[in-house]
Amino acid sequence: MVIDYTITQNGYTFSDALILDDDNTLTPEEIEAMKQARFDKWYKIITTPVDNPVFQE
Amino acid sequence: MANRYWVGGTGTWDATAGTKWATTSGGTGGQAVPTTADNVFFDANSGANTVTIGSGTAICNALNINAFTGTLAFGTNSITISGNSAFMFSGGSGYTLTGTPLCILNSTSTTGTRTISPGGASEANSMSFNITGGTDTITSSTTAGTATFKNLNLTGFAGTFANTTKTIYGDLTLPSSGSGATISAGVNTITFASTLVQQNITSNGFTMDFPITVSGTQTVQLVGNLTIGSTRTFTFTSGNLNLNNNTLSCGIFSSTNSNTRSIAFGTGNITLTGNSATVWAMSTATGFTLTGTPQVNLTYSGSTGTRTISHSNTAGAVGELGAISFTFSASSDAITLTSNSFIKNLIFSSGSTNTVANSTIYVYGNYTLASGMTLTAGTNNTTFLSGLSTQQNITTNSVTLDFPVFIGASITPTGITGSGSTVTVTYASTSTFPAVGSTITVANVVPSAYNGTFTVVSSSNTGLTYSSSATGTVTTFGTVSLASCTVQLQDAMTMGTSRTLTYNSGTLDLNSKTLTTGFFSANNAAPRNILFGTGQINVAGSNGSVWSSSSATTVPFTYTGTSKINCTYSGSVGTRIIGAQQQTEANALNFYITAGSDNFQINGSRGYQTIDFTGFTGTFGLVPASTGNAIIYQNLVLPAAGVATGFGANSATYGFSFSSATNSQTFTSNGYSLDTTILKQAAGSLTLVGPLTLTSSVSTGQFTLSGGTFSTAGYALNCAIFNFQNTGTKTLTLTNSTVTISGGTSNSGFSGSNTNTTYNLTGSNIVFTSSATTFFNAPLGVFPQVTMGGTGTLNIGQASASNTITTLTNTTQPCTISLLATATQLNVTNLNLNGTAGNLVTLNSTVSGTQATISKTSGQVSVNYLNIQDSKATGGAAWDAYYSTDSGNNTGWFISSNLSNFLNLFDKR
Repeated sequence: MVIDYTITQNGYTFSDALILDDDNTLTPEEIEAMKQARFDKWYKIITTPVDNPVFQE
Repeated sequence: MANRYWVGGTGTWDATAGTKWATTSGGTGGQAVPTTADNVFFDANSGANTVTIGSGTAICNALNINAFTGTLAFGTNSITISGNSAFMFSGGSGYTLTGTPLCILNSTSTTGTRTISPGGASEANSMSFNITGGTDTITSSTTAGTATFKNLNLTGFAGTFANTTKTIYGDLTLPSSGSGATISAGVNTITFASTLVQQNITSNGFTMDFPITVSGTQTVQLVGNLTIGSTRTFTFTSGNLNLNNNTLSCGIFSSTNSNTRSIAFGTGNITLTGNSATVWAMSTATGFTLTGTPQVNLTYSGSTGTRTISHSNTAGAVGELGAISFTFSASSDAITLTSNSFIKNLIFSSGSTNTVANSTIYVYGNYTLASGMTLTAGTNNTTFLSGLSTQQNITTNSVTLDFPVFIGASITPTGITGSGSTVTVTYASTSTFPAVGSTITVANVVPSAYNGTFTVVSSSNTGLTYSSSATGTVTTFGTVSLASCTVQLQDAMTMGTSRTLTYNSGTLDLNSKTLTTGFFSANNAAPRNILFGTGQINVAGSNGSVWSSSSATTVPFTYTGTSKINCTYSGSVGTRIIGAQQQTEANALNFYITAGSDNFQINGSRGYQTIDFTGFTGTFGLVPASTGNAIIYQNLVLPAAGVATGFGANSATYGFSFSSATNSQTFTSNGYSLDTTILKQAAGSLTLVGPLTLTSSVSTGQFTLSGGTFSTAGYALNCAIFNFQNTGTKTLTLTNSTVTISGGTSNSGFSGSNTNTTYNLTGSNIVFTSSATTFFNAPLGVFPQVTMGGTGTLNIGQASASNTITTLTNTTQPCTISLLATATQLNVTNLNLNGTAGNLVTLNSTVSGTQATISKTSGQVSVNYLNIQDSKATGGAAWDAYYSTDSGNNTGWFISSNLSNFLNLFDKR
């Protein structure tokens, strides 16, 4: 089961997909929480400036 | 029980006793034929004779041929050994066996141990054994040398098969499933080593909990699944291992050598159950090949230790054709993929919480991570570079890839030589050499005849067959890249913000997902195509080239969908640079600089769709070393008013070219003054969103319209020079706008061409503010108002043409209005030129002594404080100049130095 979703917050748009087993038992609330958790993780990365890159290939 | 020694010379072991058998070695023959109660000996005293085994007649309690030097000719017959204790068979290495030598151990004993001691016979002289009954123990001994077997068949046996070291040159068949037999565990190895025949392993569902080695040159084929213990090693030294669509399970699979060897997976797989070890050891894969679907499953589910996968991590890389898929079941231990491992699919199952060390790996298939796992950060790259697959899928499940990622292979040759039908390309690194059978594209090679698509025919670092007969000396060569497959994101992919995604070749399918990296680099000449869909790429890096891409004319960088590249760094340190490829309009990309208070520079001579600085608060401009304007095919939006610093002293002399052939482009400058040139070209339109101000520098403050439509949309435009002196088809829309020209020369300022120009000028006002010389020339336009607002000289007109200005006025004094002597005339409706006492406005000709014509069709012209010279006023109107000076060579004017004289003249008139 693939659940595509997009979250936009503060001008940042995150397009992602949850890839779940077809027989998963997640509730709609749990799925929404997973989406938000993945967005929050990404949002933190993208909004936390790294001023001095450790390594630029 | 008695002993029977063969003393019959050359003869047949059959039912005829004759003088063949003695009770002692070398004794006198004539004893009875051996029975199941007798131990049979063939020894040195039997002589170097050939003894033929008769059909159904060779039976004994035990058989000892250890010291025999003759030949046992089995044909298709066998020897039946019926004993049930101690040594059942003692072999050696001094005899010869012919036919299909077979000993059948048919005891049904329930106790004791039967020992087979085959000795060190060669493969050709090894004996087959069928253990057809018994529930006792079967073991083998190496006391007489290596225990070598031909076939070892335990069908019918239900006892304990002891673990001993054996070399088998034929088939191994374990007892039947459900027989109740026991296959003992141990550390002693069974080696399959035939150099003559295919070997089959039939385990019948039993676990072989001991090491196994395959070291022959022939095929070892599984008949059914084969499972060895989770602490045991399956060592593959040479030959062919045919899984025959079955599963081979072992703790460790080891095959580190340079021998010729192959695995035929079919639809089978190898399952590794071990942990805390290098569970897949093929650090040297020279000589290794495979067929079928190469699948290795790693099923350890615990958390202890580190599992290491080593697949060709040294020179002599196997490339894509030798890459293997590794699938990890859910587990939580540490995982290491040794550097330069070649992997087809790399799959971590749902529930995996492993920590995977950072190493350089090459992935030719799918890449699936599990949401709870960790990829250690580092500088070693992961490369996706299939040349054979149609698609590689990346599923990150929200795991951050904090290391460099390469898509496609870019291989820079270190030398290229050859002529005629073969071109040899030498690569900098064999580790990235494309797989045999894949194709590569050579581009930008001089002479160009060497460019083309090649099929790789050798796995060495040289040798590409060239498809034409071109000859010549190759002096320069470009990038050689795989014509790669599609790499598709299955979900959002996020890399570390200090990492680079290097895109070398193939198709990158975002699949409408978000791709985040620190830096994006795509500088080579290979074919590349990004499928955006509705996806986006975020480049979150700082202090570097966050986006750098280039293309060649013959192999363009293309994309589909709506491109959106967000530059998201929100800090204040360093300088970010974007440099998209110089590309056709259709392939130009959209960039959004959404944050940051650092420096941000756009590389000139590159093509962009939209560049939008909304959200940026730092200092922006072009890369100082730019060699041309940045080409914009859609919109340019500068930062919000007042929050940033832009296009100042650090900018290059180049600016922007709005170049769309079809788009309705906009330019939102948000009040920032640009120390740059602006060019509007091509057939599309450009409309200002808000006032636009360029610098007053003649060299950098130019706005040039050479094609399409330019509209100020009612906003003010300030520039040093506005130039549309060209033959391009263009529309100039200045409706209700004030265009202020702050610079100019004797022939530049606001200057246009008669050719292919359409004007929309209602309500416009062209204002000149230069204190030096400037120029107005727009011969076919009817300009509502031209205003001299500077203290310099405004030249008006074009040679052999008429200019029309409804209202010509001035707001500064003194100043000079100089009409072009060679122009046909200047047509005016309102001439509102007025100086002040001591600050006269000069109206003259550009050539002293030659009149310039000014015309008004009717009514009266009344001007004050003018200094008029070389002016011919005509057209039907009355031309009156108050408080003015007649400097000579004027006609049509009524010039009075004061108002009373003029009134006196008026009265006379």
